[in-house]
Amino acid sequence: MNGAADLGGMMGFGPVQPEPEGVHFHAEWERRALTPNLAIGATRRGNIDMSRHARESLHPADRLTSSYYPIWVEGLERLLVDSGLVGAAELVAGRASTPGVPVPVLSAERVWAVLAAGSPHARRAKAPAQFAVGDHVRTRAINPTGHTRLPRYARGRSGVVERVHGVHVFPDAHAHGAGEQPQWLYTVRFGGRELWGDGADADLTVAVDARECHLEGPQQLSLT
Amino acid sequence: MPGASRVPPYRSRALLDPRGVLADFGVTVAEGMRISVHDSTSEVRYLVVPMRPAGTEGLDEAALAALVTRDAMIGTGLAVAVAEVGGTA
Repeated sequence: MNGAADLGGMMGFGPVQPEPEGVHFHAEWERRALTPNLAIGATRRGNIDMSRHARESLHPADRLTSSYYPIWVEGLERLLVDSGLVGAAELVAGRASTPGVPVPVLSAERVWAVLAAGSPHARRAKAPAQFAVGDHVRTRAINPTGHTRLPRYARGRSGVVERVHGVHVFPDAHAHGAGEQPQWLYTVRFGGRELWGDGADADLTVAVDARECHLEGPQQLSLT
Repeated sequence: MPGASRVPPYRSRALLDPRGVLADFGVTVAEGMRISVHDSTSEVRYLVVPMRPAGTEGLDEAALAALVTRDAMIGTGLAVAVAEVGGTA
């Protein structure tokens, strides 16, 4: 979707304010805002792509005026309600009023082992890759109403395949409970001027990771 | 991930004006030096290996590690020069 999380190229936010090393949280509650976002994965009612979609679905005016962790909390609340784990009235009341849905729970003693194991998104390939390193490709000019990780600034642009990562879970499907639908994943690099026009920095190139179904080869290009 | 890289001033401008964002971090990139931005849009993660500072030939691993900063590992800074940490080359 074309949400307020997709900021590349937007202007007017002012300069970056670097922070000293070692500053991870600005308040104790921020630390606690992170953990339930990790824990929901264990319930199998949520996944990283659903969480991203919940956050990008916040109203742009709210999203752009919130700092980082409030966005995580609001996204989580939305996901908890959408997944049926928490009723909307329960969220307002701040306590459970129904017995609750039985789901797998991440216990405290398993946290480090689960985090250390990670959650790889690579899957076994069932078809050969359509593109190879060095191929000239064009991203599709899509505007889906659902989740996608192809940023707006990189849609309908020509670039070169820099790396082939194998087959990975497809966020556009995974975010909507439509299964993993694994796709070949590529790093595609673009010239700065291809993305931003003649005024762009001549020394700049930008790469994104893009899924095969969002790419087309030169032979597939047409004006129709 | 450090706070500065999570916020809109960074995320909006890192792709269009990385030279300006690096200037906000106090880093000047010489004209003609290539700037490669990688927008992380998958679950593949990357490490930045900092460019080796001049005058570090012969330094052992521990001495080299002392020159590496957080910013040097995320592409918003350079490894510090030997003189800045009082080392000898």
